[in-house]
Amino acid sequence: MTDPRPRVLIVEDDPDLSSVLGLILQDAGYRTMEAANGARALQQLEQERVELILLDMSMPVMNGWEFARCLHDRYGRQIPVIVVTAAENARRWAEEVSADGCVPKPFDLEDLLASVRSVLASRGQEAAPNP
Amino acid sequence: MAIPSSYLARMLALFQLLEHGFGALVIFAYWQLLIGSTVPASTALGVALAVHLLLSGTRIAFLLYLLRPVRRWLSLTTAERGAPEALLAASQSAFDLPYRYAFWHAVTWGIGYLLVTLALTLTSSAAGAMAATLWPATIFFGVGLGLGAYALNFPLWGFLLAPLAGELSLDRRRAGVTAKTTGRSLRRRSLTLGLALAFAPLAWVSSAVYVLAAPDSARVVQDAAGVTDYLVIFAAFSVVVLAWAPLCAGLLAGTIATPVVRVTQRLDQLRRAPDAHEGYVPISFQDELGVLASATNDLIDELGARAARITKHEQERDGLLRRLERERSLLQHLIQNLPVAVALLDRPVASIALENKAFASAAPGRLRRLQDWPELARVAGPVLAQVSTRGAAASIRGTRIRADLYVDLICVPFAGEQPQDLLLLVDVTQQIQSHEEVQEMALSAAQRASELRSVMDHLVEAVLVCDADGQVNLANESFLRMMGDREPSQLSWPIEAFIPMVQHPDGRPIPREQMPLVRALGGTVVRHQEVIWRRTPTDIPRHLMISAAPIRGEGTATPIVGAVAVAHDVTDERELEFVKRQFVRTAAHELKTPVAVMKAHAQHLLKAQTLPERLRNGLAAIDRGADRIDRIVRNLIDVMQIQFGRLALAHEQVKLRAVLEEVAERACARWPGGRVHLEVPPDATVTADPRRLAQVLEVLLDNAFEHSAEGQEVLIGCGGDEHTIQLSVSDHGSGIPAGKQPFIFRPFYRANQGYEETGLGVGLYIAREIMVRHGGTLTFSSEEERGTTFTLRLPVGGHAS
Repeated sequence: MTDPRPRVLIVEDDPDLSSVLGLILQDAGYRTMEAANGARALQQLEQERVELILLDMSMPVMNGWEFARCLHDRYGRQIPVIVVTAAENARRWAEEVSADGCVPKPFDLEDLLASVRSVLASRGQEAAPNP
Repeated sequence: MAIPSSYLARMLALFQLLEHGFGALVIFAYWQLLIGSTVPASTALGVALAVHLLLSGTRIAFLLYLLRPVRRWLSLTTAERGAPEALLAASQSAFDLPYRYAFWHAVTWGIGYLLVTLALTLTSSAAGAMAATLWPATIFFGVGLGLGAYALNFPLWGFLLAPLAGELSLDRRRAGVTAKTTGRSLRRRSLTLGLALAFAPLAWVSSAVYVLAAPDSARVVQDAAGVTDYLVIFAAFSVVVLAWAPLCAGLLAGTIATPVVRVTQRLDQLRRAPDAHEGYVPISFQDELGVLASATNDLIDELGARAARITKHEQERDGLLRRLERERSLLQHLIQNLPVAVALLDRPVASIALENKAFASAAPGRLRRLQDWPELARVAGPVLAQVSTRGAAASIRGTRIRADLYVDLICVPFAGEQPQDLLLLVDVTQQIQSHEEVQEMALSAAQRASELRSVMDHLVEAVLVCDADGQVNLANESFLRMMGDREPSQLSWPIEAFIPMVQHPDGRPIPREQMPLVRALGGTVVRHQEVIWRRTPTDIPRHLMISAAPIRGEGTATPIVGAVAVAHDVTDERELEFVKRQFVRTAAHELKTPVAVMKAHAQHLLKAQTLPERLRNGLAAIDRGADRIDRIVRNLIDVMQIQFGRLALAHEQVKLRAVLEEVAERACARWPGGRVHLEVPPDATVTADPRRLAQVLEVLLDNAFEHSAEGQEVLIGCGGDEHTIQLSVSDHGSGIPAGKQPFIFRPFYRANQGYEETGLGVGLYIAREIMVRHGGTLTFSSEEERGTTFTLRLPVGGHAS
């Protein structure tokens, strides 16, 4: 029997932020995976299916735009993406990669979780209740 | 005078009269002298008459034969008589006839009585008996007759034909036919005639003496009757000689004298009236007289020709004189009215022989000598001396001979009867003055150019000037430094030379028509066109801000004569901007990410249920601190974006009420006890960037709460018209001190000396810039201790641009 909790892939080059995002989401009842750049994320996607991707835009090796293009090439729009970026024009960037949501850094914890929930809800996914 | 046709008939009639008259006398003399009564008178006279008539007939026939050309010529009409052949033949006939015919006449007369004697001696016995004396007497008688006939006929025919020959000669001259006029000698003719004249009577006397003195003569003087016979014979003889001799002499004299007299008369006439060139002397004889007449005629011709030549020369001379007079008067008029002053000076004292109007009017008064005009004499003296020694023209250019008169002075030697000099003064005052003006202007222009050059060379900006053809031929030191020292000698470039050196800031090449100087030449004033300058592809690129403008002649409507461009090197500014932009980007990422980590951890930990109070407070402070860092970073980014003109605005339909409620709610959360009273209609909308508008209101509410006592209410009102919407944020706080009011919109004007007491002191600055970029305004009115009202005005339809 598979784990019903939605799996979230965190694509973030800053390990501190990546780990705290993981903690927050896990506490909120999600399973998480972390990738330090777009290329790693693509490798992980090949191994495991995810329900949501939190995507930083400025990353080494493969940045957010390149990752989004590859993602859409391979999987179409089936995996929703929320852009998490420190950039001033975060919303524009989010539109550029056809993201489903946008969370500017730094964020309020509740804003992040609300955004995650709403995107997953729109895709018919429900987060598991807190443990 | 024309020769009538009857001329010959009359001449021949006269001749017959003389012929037969003399014939009768001679027959009688022959009968009386030689025959006497020895032979019956009827026989002797009959035979003599018969022979006379016979021979006379032959003579008439010969005469007619000789006169044939004359007769033919006379039969011609007046017009035909000019034909050269007929004229020459008739002339020759008229000239030759006396010579030919006189001889024949003499011969026939001479032998005529020999024939009579022969006939008598043959028919009469008496005559035969006395033949011994009759024959010698007849021979003497015949010789005398021949000589006599010759002496008479020769001048007679000359006399008779002279008018004809003369007329023919005139016709010949008219017809231009030359005939021989010499050939016969007058001297010989005269001598021949003289001898004939002398010997004829001698022969006659000899025949009579022989008849009478011969011993066997039949005509012996035997009695008184014989004496009477002798007397009769002598009487008859005397009559013959007396009639004949004067006639001969008269005719001879006539033929000689008449032509001479004619020539003499003509010459005398010419002497008295040299202009009478008409009328030639007729030439009647082919001898010296003919030559004389011909020479006279030639003389007349020559005189006529000379007179014609003289007349022609006189006419030519008159024409020449008239032309000279005309030219002289023209020249005089010309000289008199020349704008050049002219004077003719007699050497050696330079007295003025002639002067024209220009000279007289230029002179200080009436001059007699050059010395009377001392200024001119001083200048012209050396020139005149030089001309007189060298004999060639000399001149001085642009010399001053009066305070207001500059001239070119030219002196030309004039070789007349007495040596003179022609002095010409050409007024060049205007040229000299304008030349001086031009020089002054040039000097002043050169000074100005030099000043300008110096200013240009000290400019930091590169300055270059091109002409209308796009050739850059003036540039300052800064530009030359930009061009490098590779070609220091080259100071002129076509605009095209710069095309490879410049690019758009984004790296595209700049086509020729977009080059600043080319646009300026087209009439455009170019302001701040930014280009990248790279003289060679390996050079470090420089950022240039180029302004350019057309250069026109005097006045703005005149054609463009060139263009000037000023290039300001903004590389340092651009690099600084680049650094700032990089900083903003780095700050965004590198500051926000750790803040996000802090904030996420703090909020995550705060969610734990069992947390000691001390730790909870600490975590909350970390969370707030992170928020403040975040706000400072945002403000810094906003300021940067405002200053670089890169503040991006969205244009959306904004429901004011919703935005204000959200902003007010958050502000009240930040300011415990804060209250906001909204007087905004629910349907008020405006086109704006909702986040930026919220940011402005947030700043204004934060300010209002900051300067108000805790619990005081802030009022947000709404107004405006169909074009503009107006929001006001009013508090009843401490107000803004009057001394600080002018500075509250300044960035970083803060803390204890400023108005905003927290943060960077850029909130109001950013708020107002956001409003301005929306096409709106942000103003305030404030009174200390009474409160402050900030007023926002926004165009309802958003910013037009």
